[in-house]
Amino acid sequence: MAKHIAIVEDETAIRENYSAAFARQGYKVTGYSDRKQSLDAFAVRLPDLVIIDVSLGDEAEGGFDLCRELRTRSPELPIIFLTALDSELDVISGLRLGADDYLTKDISISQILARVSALFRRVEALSQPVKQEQKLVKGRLELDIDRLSAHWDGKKVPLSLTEFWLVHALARFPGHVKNRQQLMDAANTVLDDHTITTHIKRIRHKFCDLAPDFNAIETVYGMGYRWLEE
Amino acid sequence: MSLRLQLLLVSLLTLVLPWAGCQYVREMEDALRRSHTGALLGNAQAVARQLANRQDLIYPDPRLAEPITGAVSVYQFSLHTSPTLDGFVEDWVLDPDGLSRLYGGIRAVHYALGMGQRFAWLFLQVTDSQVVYATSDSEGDSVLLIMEDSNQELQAYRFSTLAPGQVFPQRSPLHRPWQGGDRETRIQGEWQPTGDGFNLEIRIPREMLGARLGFLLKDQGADGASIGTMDPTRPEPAMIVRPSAELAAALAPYHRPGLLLRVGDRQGWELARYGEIGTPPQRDIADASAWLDRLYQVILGTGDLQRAATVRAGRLPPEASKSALSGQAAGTWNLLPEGDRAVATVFAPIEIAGQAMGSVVVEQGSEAILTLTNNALRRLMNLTLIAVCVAALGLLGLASLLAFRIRRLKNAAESAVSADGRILGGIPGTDAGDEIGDLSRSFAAMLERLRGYHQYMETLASKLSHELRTPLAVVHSSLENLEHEELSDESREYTRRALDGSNRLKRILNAMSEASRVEASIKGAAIESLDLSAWIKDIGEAYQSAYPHHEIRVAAVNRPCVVQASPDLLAQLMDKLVDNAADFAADGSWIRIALSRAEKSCCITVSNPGPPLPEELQGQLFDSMVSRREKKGAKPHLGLGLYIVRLITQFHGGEANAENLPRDGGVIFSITLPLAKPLD
Repeated sequence: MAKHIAIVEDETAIRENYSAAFARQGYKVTGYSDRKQSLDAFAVRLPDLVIIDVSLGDEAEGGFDLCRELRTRSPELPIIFLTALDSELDVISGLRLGADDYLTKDISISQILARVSALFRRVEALSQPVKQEQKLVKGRLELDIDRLSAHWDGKKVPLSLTEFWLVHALARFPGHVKNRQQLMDAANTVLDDHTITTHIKRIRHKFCDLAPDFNAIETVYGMGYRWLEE
Repeated sequence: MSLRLQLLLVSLLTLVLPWAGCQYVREMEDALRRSHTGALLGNAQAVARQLANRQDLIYPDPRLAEPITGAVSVYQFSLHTSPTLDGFVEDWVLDPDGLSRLYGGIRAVHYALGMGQRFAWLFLQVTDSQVVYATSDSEGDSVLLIMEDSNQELQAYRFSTLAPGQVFPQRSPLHRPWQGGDRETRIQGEWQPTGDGFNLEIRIPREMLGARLGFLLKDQGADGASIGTMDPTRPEPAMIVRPSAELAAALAPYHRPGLLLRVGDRQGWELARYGEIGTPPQRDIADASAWLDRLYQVILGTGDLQRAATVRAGRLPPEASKSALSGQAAGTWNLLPEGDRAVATVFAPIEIAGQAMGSVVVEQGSEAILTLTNNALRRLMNLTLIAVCVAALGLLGLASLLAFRIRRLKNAAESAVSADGRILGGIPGTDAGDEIGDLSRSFAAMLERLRGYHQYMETLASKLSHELRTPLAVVHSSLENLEHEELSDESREYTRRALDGSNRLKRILNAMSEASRVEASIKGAAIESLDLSAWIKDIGEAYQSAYPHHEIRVAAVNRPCVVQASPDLLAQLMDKLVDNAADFAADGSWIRIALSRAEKSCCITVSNPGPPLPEELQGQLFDSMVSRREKKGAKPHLGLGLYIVRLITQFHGGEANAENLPRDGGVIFSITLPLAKPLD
């Protein structure tokens, strides 16, 4: 049965374009232009994945409100923000609300498709028994490729999709410097240098929240980052 | 002219107040004087009226009232000592000006008549360039004395001598007075030669002198002319004018302390005097008042008071006889010949049977400035003085305050906008309610608008990128969908070009919003101690691998340069500078990264041998959206790189500069950062 994706986007052209792209991939797509309309529909039945724009019509942060409401109804529902707002504050707000990813609108359609399918894989993997060989273990770090989840000292690190792939790219070859372009490619996204820095900063924060002595990601000025193995 | 000076000049206008005060005081002074003389005049007129009934006192001898033509009255002084007959007048104890004068041609005679206890004394001082003494056969200079004896008969005596010394007169017949005759030994004279003539002192027994006396000097030397109190052609002596004790006694009832009463005849001879111009009673005043008095005297001056003309002894002031002759009462104020004292003098004619026969002169001494003797006026002047001082000080204070505020506003306005046009500070004093406050507020409002505009300009890029992002997403997603449609090869080619274009647009938008993202990350940047000398070597190596087409030279001081900085932001700054350098330096050329250290700061420089900076961009190179690139490259250039450099430098409290190297050696960008204070 085809996965059902809901797109909540007030810009008709974008909504229609994404809908067409997803439909081409065999997804079932429904578009909504505002918060109320989408909530009415979600009250009947939740979709399998929701893509939300932050500003919805007159509501400048209607997407955040919608995300909050959906998250209270379903903790597992994959939610992706797709928005023109790209400030650090907006990214952090979105992820803090429990969104699985935060994408800016200059991302290409193929990249979105890749992320959506990755998210679906994670959801599927979570419902299946754990397979040992799909895990990457580096010292205290444990990455589950299928579930796209990360553990440090056995504790779960709440990484977003982009963050997970960044950590994965770094940790796969400890000691190797990954420049920003390589990291971008790994995360399957278009991010400028600065956003990479922001993501790295957030990743460090998340690890430090669990283990204050975390210092496995080193900045190599002018080049990029590398994973340090103890 | 500075505002303070102008206000100071304006405050000088307060000096009008003391000036007006002075004018007022002067007018007051006039009025006081008028009333003073008025009171005195009343006195004088009372005396005059009283004396009009006592003609006998003024003219005890009726002949006195009828002057003889051609004859001059001789005034008789009372001598209180008994002089020596020596030809000198000094022992008479007379006022030096007591001598009357007669002038005629080249000669002059000074003379005086004194009445002692037993003798009458006549003194003649003759100025004569050529004194001729008589010889046995020729006449010399001679003096003719004609006087009335006690029987009212005229007697003539001729004085002539062969040599200086004792001289006795010859009694002459009246009809030929120069003839000479028997020696009269009761009358004795002393002929004393002087440097410019001779003195003749004559002693006459009192009983020989009647009411009339006159003399004539015959000068034998030059032209034989005569000079004297009588008409030489008809020698008739005039009446002797004698002060009258009875008259003085008659004045006594009108006397008050400090009042001098005098009576004169029609010729202005003083017939009687009573009283003295006393010194005014000493006022009991404090030292401060005395000091103020002197100040007032300096400020007010003595007004239009003139020094009184010196009047010879025995004479009344000339106004007295004028008044007596015209029958008009008058009053004047004069300063005494010496000192600050002033004297009020009034003249009142004595009229007998409608004819002025003499005058009464009443004088009273007083302070030169009457106003000072009036307590109320003094207080008024003191208060005015205090008021003027307070007003002047107040104005001066206000002027200084205004000047200070305007200067402060000026300084604030000057420093509010930096050399490159950025808004730095605020404007003080915007809460004042006056016009300067208004000015401050308009300045502040203007700055605020300017700041808003600046902010708008600086955030324009990110706003624009933001607004453009959604339509671009529409274009881009549409194109991507189009790629999946059935398209001819030509259409596919167009689609590919359109996608390329939209991709480029995306990169431009990203660059545009980068500055605002840097601003945001600056707010949350973590500051740590960073040793730049080690750090710069690390990143230098990294840049060598990042820019393989350039030779990266790194030169850093070996001493540690510890700054408080965010390594992420500094790395971003270096990225921009090196990227900028790599863009301008041709492939294969060098890029030099250097670190130097000064006392309190260190300086990172990035130089390259590229083309020099254009003059017109000096000062705004680090502004938003300023770019000096001429050639179009694949990478978008919005002139935000150096703006980010400036943002980061400012965040670290440093300064960013760009200069051309000497001799077209390239361009150098320098970042000066303050060193961290060493920990104790």
